[in-house]
Amino acid sequence: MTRLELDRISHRLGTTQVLREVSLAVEHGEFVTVVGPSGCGKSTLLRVAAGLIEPDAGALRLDGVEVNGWEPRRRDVAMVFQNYALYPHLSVERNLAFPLENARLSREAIRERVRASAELLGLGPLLARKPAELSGGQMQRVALGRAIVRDPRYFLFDEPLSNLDPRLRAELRVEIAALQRRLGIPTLYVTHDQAEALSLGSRVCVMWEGALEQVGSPREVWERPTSTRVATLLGSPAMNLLRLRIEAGRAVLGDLRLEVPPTARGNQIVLGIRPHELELGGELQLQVEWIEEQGDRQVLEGSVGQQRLRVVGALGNGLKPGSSIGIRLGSARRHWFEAGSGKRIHAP
Amino acid sequence: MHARDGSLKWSLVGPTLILLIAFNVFPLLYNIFLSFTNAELVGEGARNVGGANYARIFSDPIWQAALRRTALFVLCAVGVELLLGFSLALALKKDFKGKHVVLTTLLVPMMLSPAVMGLYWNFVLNGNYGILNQALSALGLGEPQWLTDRDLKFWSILLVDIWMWTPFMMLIALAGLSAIPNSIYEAAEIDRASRWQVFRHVTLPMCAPLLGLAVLFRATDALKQFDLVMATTGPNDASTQTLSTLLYQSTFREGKIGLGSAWACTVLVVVLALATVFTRYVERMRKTQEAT
Repeated sequence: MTRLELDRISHRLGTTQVLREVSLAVEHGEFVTVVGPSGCGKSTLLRVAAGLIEPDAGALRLDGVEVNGWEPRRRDVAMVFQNYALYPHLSVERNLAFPLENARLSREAIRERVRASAELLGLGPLLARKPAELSGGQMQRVALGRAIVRDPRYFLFDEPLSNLDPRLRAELRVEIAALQRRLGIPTLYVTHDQAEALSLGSRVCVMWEGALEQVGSPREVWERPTSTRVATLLGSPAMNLLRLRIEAGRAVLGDLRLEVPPTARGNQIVLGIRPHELELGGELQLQVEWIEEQGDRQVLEGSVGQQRLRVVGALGNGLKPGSSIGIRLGSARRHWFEAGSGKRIHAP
Repeated sequence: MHARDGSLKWSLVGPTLILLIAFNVFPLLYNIFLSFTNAELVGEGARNVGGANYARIFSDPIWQAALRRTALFVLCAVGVELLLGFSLALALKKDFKGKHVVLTTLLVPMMLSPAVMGLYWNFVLNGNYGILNQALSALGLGEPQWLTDRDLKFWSILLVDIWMWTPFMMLIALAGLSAIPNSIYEAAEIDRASRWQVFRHVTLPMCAPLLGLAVLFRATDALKQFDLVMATTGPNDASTQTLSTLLYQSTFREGKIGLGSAWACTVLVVVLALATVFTRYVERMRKTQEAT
């Protein structure tokens, strides 16, 4: 049983405040994903958790014991890197055995454990090869094997799938999830891919400029984003954000007058609507400027009055850029945000 | 069309070929021819003496001593330069304030001409007016005759060579070190490797190919050691004679062209052998690099 706790971690690199009082606990068996744009500090956060970076402020605890200043070797952590970080001059077998060789295990025990994790990941036939002779997917599997071979107290993943092609990514995603569930080791997983974060995490942390913007279950962060940042970060294509005028207690969108939450203040408001929830055929005229073909569906980009808007739907042929099409809000979930701060306006 | 293409081709390549033949191929062949004669700089015409020159080289103790001395020189120089250069590179790997200044300063010896180097070290090591001996005698430590003592001067030249070429090793080692991605070090740290294990299993093996290249490069160069010896003790000093200086001495000072040519041929064979290893090694490195 391990519980990893980050308590108000702050860190500065040069003149940039990379982490701002980040607090997060990963419970035993839990899979927590951290998602954010590049440069938001998520990789630094992971390195702090690993002990590769000593934070300027804040405490790191393992099962309640403060481990600040502990070297990685003492923390008993395993980490998987974006570029795999395999030892290029060692065979797959020696790569897997490396963490064990440093733990002074008997030769037999090492061989047994290497064999077991190689089998678990289907690496048996590759044991004699050098990393240069492996494909990207195979290399990342070896890196996974090297992480699990030692039975660590917690796992850290630093964008492990971002160098792989989409098909392999999906395949390994399933494998990682299954592996983690089976081993029950608490896991912190950093990614810039929102789909990965949502599908893998039992909890998702959305990070922005060194701070955690929202932490919640995948459903929660998807259905109730606490800010426009979270809203645009999750989902592809990103959520439409329409800046609307409020007149007589109603938001103005074209000819529509939309009811706003009673807690709304000011004369402007931001309405968020996911592109795939908009319906075709309706009272709003979308001036189509761009059509992106995605096979089973199309992404339309255009404008309604002054507002930029994207719609996803199965439209069939015939529609050309320059033509217009009717859309309606229909049953689309309406997310309301404050125009100034971008914070979600909660209905009472 | 073909004929004209051909003439264009030859007119472009021709001048180079003629120069190559005139300055490389002909001298080489003529040298081989001379090595079987008793040609001398002054005196009557050359006569064919068969393998007599070669027989003499392999039996004459002076020649053998020069061969052994050169081998010792190569071993000591390259070995110490490698160790020192690599250690310096490890020390300079991390960024610190003024790193560029330190690096540039360290590279100065490598960029100066060997002749200048020899003269400079003459001022330092000279038994009578050398700076080193002035300092030593001021401290009451005696005045070793660095450049004239029979047991010392070889090591003095070695010292100068090391001083000159350690920066080169350091530069190559530094390039090797900076090519190791940081994440590999992080992975090793996570994998609970101790500092020594990281050095032994990550740093060293990943630097080794480039270091090997530097060693080969330096070895072929040290094998031809000439300028430093010329600038410090001269070519006719029995205790510092290397392959090249002995060759120079017998050919141009004593005028024994036939003997000198035979000597040059044997040196050429040794250098060629090393150069072949060198090119093979580079080729293999290129291939493994392509694979990754």
